[in-house]
Amino acid sequence: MRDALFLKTFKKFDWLLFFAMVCLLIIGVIAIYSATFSSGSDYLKQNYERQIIWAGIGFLLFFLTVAVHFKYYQAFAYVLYGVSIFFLILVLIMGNRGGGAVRWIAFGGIKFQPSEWAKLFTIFALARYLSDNVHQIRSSKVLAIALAIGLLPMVLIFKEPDLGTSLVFAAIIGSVLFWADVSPLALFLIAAPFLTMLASFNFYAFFAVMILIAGILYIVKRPLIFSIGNVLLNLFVGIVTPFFWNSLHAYQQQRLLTFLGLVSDPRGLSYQVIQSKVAIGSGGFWGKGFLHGTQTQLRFLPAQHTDFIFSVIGEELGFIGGMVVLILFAVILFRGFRIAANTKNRFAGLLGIGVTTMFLYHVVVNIGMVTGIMPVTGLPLPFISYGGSFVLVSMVAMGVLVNVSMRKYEY
Amino acid sequence: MRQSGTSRKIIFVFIGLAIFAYGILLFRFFTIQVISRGKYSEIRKNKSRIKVTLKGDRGLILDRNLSVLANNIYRYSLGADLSKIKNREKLATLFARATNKSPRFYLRKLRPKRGFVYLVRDVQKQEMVNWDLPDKKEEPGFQTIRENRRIYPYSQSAAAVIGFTNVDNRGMNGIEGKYNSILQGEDGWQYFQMDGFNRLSPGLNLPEKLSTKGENLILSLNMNYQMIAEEELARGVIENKARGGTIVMLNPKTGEVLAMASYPGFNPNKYRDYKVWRYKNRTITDVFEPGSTFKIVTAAAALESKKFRLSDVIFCENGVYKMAGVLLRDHKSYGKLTFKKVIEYSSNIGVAKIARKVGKKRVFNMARAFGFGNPTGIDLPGEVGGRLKNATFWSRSDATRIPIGYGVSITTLQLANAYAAVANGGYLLRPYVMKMILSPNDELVKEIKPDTIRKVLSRKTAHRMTEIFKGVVKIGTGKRAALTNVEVAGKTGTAQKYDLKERGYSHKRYVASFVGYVPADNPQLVCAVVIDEPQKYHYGGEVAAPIFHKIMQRIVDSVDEEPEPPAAQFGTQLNSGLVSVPDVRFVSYSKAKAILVEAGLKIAAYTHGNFVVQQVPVPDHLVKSGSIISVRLEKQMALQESDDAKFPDVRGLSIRQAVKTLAEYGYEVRVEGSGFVIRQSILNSKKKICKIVCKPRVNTG
Repeated sequence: MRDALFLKTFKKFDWLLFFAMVCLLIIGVIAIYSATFSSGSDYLKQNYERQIIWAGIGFLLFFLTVAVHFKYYQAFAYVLYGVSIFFLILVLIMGNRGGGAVRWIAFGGIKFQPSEWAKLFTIFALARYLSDNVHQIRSSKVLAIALAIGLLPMVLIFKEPDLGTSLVFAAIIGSVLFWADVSPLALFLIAAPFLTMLASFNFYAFFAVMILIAGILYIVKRPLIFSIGNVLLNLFVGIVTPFFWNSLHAYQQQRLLTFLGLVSDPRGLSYQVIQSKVAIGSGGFWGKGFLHGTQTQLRFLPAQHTDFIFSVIGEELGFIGGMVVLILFAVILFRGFRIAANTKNRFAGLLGIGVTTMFLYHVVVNIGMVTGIMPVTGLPLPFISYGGSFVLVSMVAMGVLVNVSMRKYEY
Repeated sequence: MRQSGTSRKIIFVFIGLAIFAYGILLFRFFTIQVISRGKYSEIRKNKSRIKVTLKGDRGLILDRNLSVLANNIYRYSLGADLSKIKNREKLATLFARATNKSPRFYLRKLRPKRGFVYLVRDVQKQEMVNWDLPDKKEEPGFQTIRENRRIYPYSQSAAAVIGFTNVDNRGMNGIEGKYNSILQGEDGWQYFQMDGFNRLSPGLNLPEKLSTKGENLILSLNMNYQMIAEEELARGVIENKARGGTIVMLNPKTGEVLAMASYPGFNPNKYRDYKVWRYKNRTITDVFEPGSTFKIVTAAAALESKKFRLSDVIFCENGVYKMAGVLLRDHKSYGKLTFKKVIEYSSNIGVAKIARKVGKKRVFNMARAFGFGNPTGIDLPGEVGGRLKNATFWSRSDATRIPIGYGVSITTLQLANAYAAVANGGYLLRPYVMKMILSPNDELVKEIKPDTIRKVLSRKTAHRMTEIFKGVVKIGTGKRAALTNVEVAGKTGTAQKYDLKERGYSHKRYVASFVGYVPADNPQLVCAVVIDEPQKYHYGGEVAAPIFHKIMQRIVDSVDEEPEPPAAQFGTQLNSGLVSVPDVRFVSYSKAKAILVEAGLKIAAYTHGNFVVQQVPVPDHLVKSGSIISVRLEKQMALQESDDAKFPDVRGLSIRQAVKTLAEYGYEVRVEGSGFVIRQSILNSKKKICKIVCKPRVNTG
């Protein structure tokens, strides 16, 4: 019976998602090979082999994830979430002892990064909680608890410090809550002060955000005091932020930016980004050819096999190569959103939207960073960037997506 | 359960957002890669290729015996990039251990959070051999900077003649400045391919231009004479409590400058430690009223115009005489003197009377002919011409004062050069310092030939003048300049300095001078000694003549040392490689000689004694093989304070550290005060007892 069901389910296997993932992994291994080809270090040169091993383990986990019915994930969601929180705290404690930023935990010889797994399991826990409480979904208690579930790992990761990864949680929380039908206004009002904070450094941006907030409050017709209170709060945040910022010494600002991971570059703020743009730009339409990218082979980019891998592709494989990668991601994203939209089970739908948003965020922020329109926050490109934990997590997340895809008509 | 209808609607928010974000990415990607491709390709070229200047080595400066006076050396500076330092304590400890300073000294330097500090500056490679310095990998903030620096092995000697180079290795003063364009190599360039870790590799197919070395200069200076002159000048200035002094030594037959000294001078290796006036070559930049040495002009004019003969008798008015409103005094009262005796005894009254008869025009013309009032044209920067009024503007008092050397101003070089004209039989020559230019391959590029400016005197007059000057030394005012085995011709000079405050000539401040040449009948050397404001005595015969005597006696005694190497030898000698100078200090002369000869070097002693106490160039300097190492001998072995190898410098250390360090060298230490060592001295060198004076450190900012 179980065997039959298993086989029957696999008949609905989502070959398109699988194909896209495999293509991206292959491109990734090729790009890593090229990125580390001319480095003096033997360790770096073997990175592509290690990436293949990780991907091999990843395929095992992928099929395991696909095979197990998502209702088991629902059952174990809190346990998995609890374990990942435990490891995040462990990392913080060990990190403090070491006296520097530590994001890893080593088991024997294998290092893994709890923050990567925490992304997936936080999606599990949020999906579980929001599907369990579907009938009080608009109550502020549910909103508060759901927010707490999402913010706890986010804060822990932010403290590591790893701003880039912690911001992924903001995207996940926002999308999952929005999908779960939590009051959009509440979500907006929670996000508004942060938006104001960012916009406060530019008068026009600040003005526009304030108009937006006031306008939305006007349209939804809430009690006047509530609306005015919210506007005043945002106004206050917007005015105080620049003052606070300017009252800091230059080195404090620098330290804050460094802490936030916005200045990870010792050779000057925009060195990485300029080099990345130069690499991509010099690639042209057809690229310079595999192993023929001068910027890549001369190792201009400090993180070219990890976060800046896309610039290697852009230089050596050109606009065409970059487009192929973007299209493959587009396939995954649009298929992911379609799966989420069509899934009957609420928990599974929330999983789908969470995972797809996670991928979307990674792709947009990473490529935005590499092409110089996003701050350098150090976020890897799924399936392509070198890195064991993230490859495994991405493939398991893909497994979840395929899993949901195969069972989208089950309640 | 969610209805699929709602889901579908909301999903468009996500899909819309995704399309929007994707659109921006695609647009960005497309503009970078396809539209503005050219721009980034251009940046790429500029970024990955850098042009590196290849510095051309500066030419060497050598003296006539091919001792290296200015050399190039790689010096290292160690510093730290404060923003990159990982472990300040460790770095400070390592440096403290390496340099024997306290770790606190370095910690204080390393305290700031950003910027760059030098921890140790200007050390040679050999000095760093035993230092345990941090690895670049474990301490990314640690940096080593290599600089090609000019080094002057003779330190203070001839510093004002040689000059020095500034931080950009550009010649500033003296020969370095004057011949900068010859000495300076031509910089080349090369393109390097730079990778993302800022590692450079030479680009193989890129254009390049190699640097060329500068040409070498051989000076006419004889460093043995130079050092003797400097030493005796310094001694003379100190003994007479004078303000300073200058010496010029010329070869009267060629105009070559053999020695040129100004005291006090400076060390060109540390020129920043000195005030700017110390850099000056005061033999050509500073003028003084000569007094009696200027009587050469009057005497020559009188003899040349045949108005006087040596035997003519002049009445010297018994020491006091008023002439044209000027009260003239002689240092002794003289009655009737012959012309020759007037000069020998340097009677102002007699000379003034001679000048009156000769006429101011003739005196002026003769002064001009000797080169006074005009720069000599020596190949050094900064020469002044002095002041000599044209005869048409001479007042009556001028006509009285100028012939005896007041109311004119001259340089020491002009003085020496004028006497050289008498010494060589009447020809004024252009003095010069740069003798030869050698290419980097030691081929002769140019040799400077003696340059006669004019004939000043007839041979006969010159001969008569020499007779007079011989008399000055034999029986006149310059007796103390006489040498034991060689006859000297010369003239003393004593001039009161004009006091601007009192608007008259001072009775306290004098310029004492002596200028002479040896051997009197076949002059090889002219030497002018000028001492500024001697306090003890002030007569040229008492102050300057003894200095002249000491210098010349030493030179004459050692004159058999070195025959001049013929020009053909230069190539082979210069090419014969570099030798590290061995340490011959504190050994006997014979042993030092043996050591140096074995190392392929030569020895020249310039004092009498048995033990070497000082050597130039100092140990470990690289010199051309065959160079002469000058040593100073003393009768007894005395421990030199400056010899840090034997008496380590513990200044700045804490008492504990100082005592520990000194104990390692076998010293028994007496401590005075507390805190940190500010002075140190040896109480008993035999028993090795020393004293350190300490003071608490209040604020060393």
